[in-house]
Amino acid sequence: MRKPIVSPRLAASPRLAAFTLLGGLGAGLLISALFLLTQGLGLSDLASQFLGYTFTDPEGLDQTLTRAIPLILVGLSVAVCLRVKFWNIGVEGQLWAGAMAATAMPLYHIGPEPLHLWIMCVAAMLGGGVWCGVCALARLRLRANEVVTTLLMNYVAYMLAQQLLYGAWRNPEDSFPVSRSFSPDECLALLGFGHVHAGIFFALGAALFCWWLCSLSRVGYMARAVAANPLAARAVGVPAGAVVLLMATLGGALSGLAGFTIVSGEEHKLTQFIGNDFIFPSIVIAYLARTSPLGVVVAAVAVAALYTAGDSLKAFYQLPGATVLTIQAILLLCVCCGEFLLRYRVDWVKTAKAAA
Amino acid sequence: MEHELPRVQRERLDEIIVPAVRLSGVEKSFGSRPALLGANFALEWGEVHALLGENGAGKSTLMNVLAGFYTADAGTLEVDGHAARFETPAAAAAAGIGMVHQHFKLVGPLSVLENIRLACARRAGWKSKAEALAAMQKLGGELGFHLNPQARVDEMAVSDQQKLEIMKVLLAGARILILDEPTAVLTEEEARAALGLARTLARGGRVVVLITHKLRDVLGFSDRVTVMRAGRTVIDAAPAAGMTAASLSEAMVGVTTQATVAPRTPHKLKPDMLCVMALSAPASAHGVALRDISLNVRGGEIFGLAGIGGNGQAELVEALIGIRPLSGGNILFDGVDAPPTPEARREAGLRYIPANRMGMGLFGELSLAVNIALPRLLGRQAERKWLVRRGWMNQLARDAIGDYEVAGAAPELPVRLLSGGNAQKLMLAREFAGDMSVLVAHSPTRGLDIRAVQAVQARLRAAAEGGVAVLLISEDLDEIMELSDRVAVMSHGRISPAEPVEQVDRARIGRLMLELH
Repeated sequence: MRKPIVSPRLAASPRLAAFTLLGGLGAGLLISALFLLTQGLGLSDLASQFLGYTFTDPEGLDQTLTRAIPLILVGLSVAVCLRVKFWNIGVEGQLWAGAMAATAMPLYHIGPEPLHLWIMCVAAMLGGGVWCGVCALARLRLRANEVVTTLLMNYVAYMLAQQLLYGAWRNPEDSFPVSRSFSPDECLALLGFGHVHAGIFFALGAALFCWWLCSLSRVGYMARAVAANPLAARAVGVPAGAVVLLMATLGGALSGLAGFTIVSGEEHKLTQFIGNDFIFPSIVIAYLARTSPLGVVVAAVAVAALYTAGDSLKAFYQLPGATVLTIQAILLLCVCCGEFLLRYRVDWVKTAKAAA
Repeated sequence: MEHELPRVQRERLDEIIVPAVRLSGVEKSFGSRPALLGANFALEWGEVHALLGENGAGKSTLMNVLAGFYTADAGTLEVDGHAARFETPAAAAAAGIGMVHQHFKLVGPLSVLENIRLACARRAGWKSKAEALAAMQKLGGELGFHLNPQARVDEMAVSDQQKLEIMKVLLAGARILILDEPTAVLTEEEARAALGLARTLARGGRVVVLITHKLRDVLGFSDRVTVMRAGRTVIDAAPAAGMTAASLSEAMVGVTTQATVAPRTPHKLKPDMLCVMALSAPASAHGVALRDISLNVRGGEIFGLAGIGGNGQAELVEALIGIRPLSGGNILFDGVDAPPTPEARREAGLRYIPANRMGMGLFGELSLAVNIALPRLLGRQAERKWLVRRGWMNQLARDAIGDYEVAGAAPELPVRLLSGGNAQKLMLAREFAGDMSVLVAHSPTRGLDIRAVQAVQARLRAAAEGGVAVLLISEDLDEIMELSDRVAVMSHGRISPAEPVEQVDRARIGRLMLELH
């Protein structure tokens, strides 16, 4: 008779770490494919939707890359915060805060005209940074759990945006609940490939910056220390509070930047729908990337491709929008299971029939 | 159940001949690392049996095999003369074997009775809370102590938590009781009480195994002793009466360790490097308040602060490092006010060795290289700020491993995989780097084996001889007397005036503790 015995691994090799991640992803994709097959899709449809349309068709690739820009930024936001074990569940609120701050600049004519775009960018980062930084301060000073505060701050930002769109910022020309359109020099330039705009450089630049910060600068090592053992970090002389505040504020600023790329690069105005559906994907992306900033870029593009495929599934096969969320959830669960195998070893042990 | 009757009869017939437990030729390795290389072990009913060995000798591994936590790779196990093999702790418990681990397995926020019901209700067959309570009180009467069944476990003293663990194991039906390092977390007085309890249990017909590396536990309280070294049994169940401290430590280490202490090289003392004036700090939950503490440590001397743990020592260390807010008083380094933050104090030359290495010192999940390099990345004088290369960190780690003889180490290895002694050497390597002027060392040798103790003590001496002001806080009186130039006593958050070590002895220290009440 054999039975499984689960025991913790002392130290896992990097090869095993890569293997469990890829294995988890592979299993997730397989289960997702089976799920879609049960929804009435054929095998050839799957291949053409997921590989053909999302990556080789210019229209699909355009949609994927455009969508990837804010996804990279919100993924980085969660990943950077996780580096100090700060659970940022509030990327939507920070994104709204960034978008509102960016929109306020041209609406109130703040700063010289030629610099408007840059002022909007900085304002968005400040807005998002404050939105998340406040939650970090509340954790440090009042021991308020950031999972709760960042989550609730989502609603505050959303309601504030509704208040402005139905009030002071309502479009004066047609009374629709959107802000006035930005002038061309307040918009991010298109790059000549569909809707892809200059925001992609902001996203890639942010990823490079985060990689440098986390892996090469001393701040990254201080963050590791704070995450691994806050008390020891404090005793050794790591300014632990400052490090948490810095990383959380940076995380918020990245989400704020995502808001800026949406209003300035995609919508060219503040609308009611810019900040929906980012919380769950941001966590999936950070998790799939195991909080590696460069990994976030890859994971965000993959998740964006999933959305592209989901849109066409919706259009051509009448599958509900929740299909994409379901697939994301399947992937996340499978990667989590992979993580379990990384931490624990399962041995099949032969048991002697009777002990006596 | 069919075996039950014959076994009982057999026991009556051969009570003296059949050993309670016999382990022979047990082998066990973890990955490629062998922990046991053919170990033997035998227990008889009614004895206290000490299992002695250095850190990493295989004592705990062997007992984990007996208690069903590990399965042996090779070897045989007999309980009461019957071959047995335990795949799970539950199977071992059903055979009457119970283990109290060094780190207690209790649920902190639950009460004493709840913990007992959680662990034993099914095996003891209790249907109600009242039954469990009655069983607990009956056992308490038998053992001669009573725990408040409603007390929250995480608010109890460590010694009471240990008693609860013992009760738990006994109520689950254990007749063979394994205590892993039972005295490591206890004060002198509590340790004697715990060892006395072990004798009571054994005299009642059970077997008690003491896993220990303290000679005192063996010589004063055990009937027989087994000594292990490097995965093998070197003394197999010999009567403790015929043993001496020297013969035991020789068996443990393999060579006779130097009993005499090298005399201190005389050196010049510098002025006060650390000066604490009327320091007070409020108590945190379950902690001790610091009350009007004054002391001064000169450069080049070791100032020994004796006292039983939990009397404000940890709080004093935290106040000196700068992570505990003060309510009054001053700390001066070399005649000037100590800076307020831990990072600035480190830059000013303060170093520390905490009593709880993995809690307040090292980062178990991070690599040796990061642990070693981290302090050099802090503050305005950081060696690296914008570009921290892995190669540079690994080189620092390799140098530290070489200089401090950290065994079984590599730069990329997570620190939690190091044994206690090697982790402490790493701690020293990190703290002694750079310009050190004041060292606060709290129980720096606790839990270490003889060779690691000697290595750490030699480093402390060398630091003092190099002009560092060393504040040595320890519960180990021998250590205090051996290393210190001046001695003070800490109790209830206060300290006594310092006296030269020549003027104090154990009795005097005891009196000083009483005077502080």
